[in-house]
Formats: sequence, structure tokens, C-alpha cells
Amino acid sequence: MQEEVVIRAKNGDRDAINTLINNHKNMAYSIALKYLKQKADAEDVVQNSFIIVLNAIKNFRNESKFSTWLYKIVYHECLKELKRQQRSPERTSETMHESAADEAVYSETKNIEIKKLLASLQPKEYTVISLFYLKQKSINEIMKITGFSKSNVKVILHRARTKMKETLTIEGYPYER
Amino acid sequence: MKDETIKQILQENLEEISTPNFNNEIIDKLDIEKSSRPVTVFNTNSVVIVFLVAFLFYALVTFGILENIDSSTLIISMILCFTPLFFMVFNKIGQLALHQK
Repeated sequence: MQEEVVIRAKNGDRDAINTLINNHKNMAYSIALKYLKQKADAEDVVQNSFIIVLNAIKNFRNESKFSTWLYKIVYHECLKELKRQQRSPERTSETMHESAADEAVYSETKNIEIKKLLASLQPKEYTVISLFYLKQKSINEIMKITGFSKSNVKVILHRARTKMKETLTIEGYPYER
Repeated sequence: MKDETIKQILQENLEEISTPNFNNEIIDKLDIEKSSRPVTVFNTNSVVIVFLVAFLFYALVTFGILENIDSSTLIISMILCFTPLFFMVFNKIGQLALHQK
């Protein structure tokens, strides 16, 4: 199914391209937002990543899954943007106020306990656990995406699981492996 | 509840992109060749296959019955062999006509 959509996207089929974007945009955006904190920055990074991947899709040889390739680009674009922001730290106060306002709306609409739980995860923990559970990525695929070593991925995954398990137990969710 | 709980929480709390034209903005920036998939009037492969099968069938029946091949049999055989070429020419003409629109 996924392969067929990728083949159609290679031929320039707009519906297939739309399907690929719809299948992955929220996950990619969630990861980018975790790293960059600002909605606008995260959207720009996700959009840019899709443009990079879809412009190069004709050269895609199915050596790995399309989604693995895409998330690798998203992850590296996030790191690139973070580095760029660190080089130019003088973000305008206006932008920071907008961000605070966004955060307030965000807080209101989310269940506070779950928000706290997800906020307790570091970006790399969120990336690894989301890819593992939501996109059913194997440890090897997560290694390809993030560039972490096998043991590092396992440690991060374990740490993220433990954090979630502890919070879920405190909040009254019966959790068992 | 098992690991499914984690999956469910992560799934339910995925952030959603609020920009309404997000997909179109991406597609507009892509270098998609508009004529990347050429429109064809006939499917050339199936036309060739159909005529090859028809020719083989005709050849088996006719050459199996007749010892001396007459001119009309030869002409019909040649027509069956060359007709796909005409379809291919029509295809090219059709593609050019559609391209010019």
C-alpha cells in the first residue's frame, strides 16, 4: 500500500503526494515542536523536510521505508534549525510573547496530567518513543533516523517508557508490561 | 492496560498542524513535471500482445490446414503483424494533440 503510494508520488501524482503528507505531517510536526517549541518554526521545518524529500523522491530506491527517510530528514532539519537559533539567539520579544500566548492556549486545551507527562519527556525521548510506538519503527530504523547507537536507542526508549509508566501509575492508569 | 496505553496517549496527543493550506503550500513548491505521466490513447503493450496472439492463432489454424500459402493468407498475416504499428502512430498523434492543448 505504502509502496504503491510512493510509486504514484514518484510519477507526480498529487493525490499520492497529499496522502504521503497527510500520513506523516502530524507526527513530524509533533517531533519538530518538541525540539523547537515554536509552532511557526516547527511548521517551517516540517514543510521544508517534505519539500526536500518529495523533490528527491525520484531517486528514492526503496532501500529503506519512505517514512524512515522522511523522519531522518525531519530530525536533522530540527537539529539544524536549533543550531541556527543558537547562533542567533536574539529572538525578538514579540516572538517570545506570541509563543507564550500559544503555550497558554495549548495548556487550556490539553488534559493537564497528560501534558505534564509529555512535557517531562526530553525531545529525543519523545522522538524515540513516538517512532517506536506510533510508527512501529524497529530499533535499527530508529538508529538510521537519529544516528544514535543501538544501546543508546534502547536506553532512551527504556528511560522514556519508565517516565511514562511512573507518571501513569501516579495518575491512576493501571500500567503493566 | 499494557503498552497500548502509551501508544494511545501518544496518538491522542499528536500535535496537529493548524495551517489550512499546508499540503498545497508544499505541493506548490515542488518541481513536479506537469506532463510526468504521458497520456496515451491506446495501451501500446496490450495492443501488441492482442495482435500477436491473434496472429499466432491465425497462423496455427491457416498454416496447419493449407499446404500452399496463397497471397490472401499472406496479406492477412502481414496486416495482423503491422496493425499494432498503426495504433502506435495514432498514440503518438494523440499525445502530440493533447500536449498542444
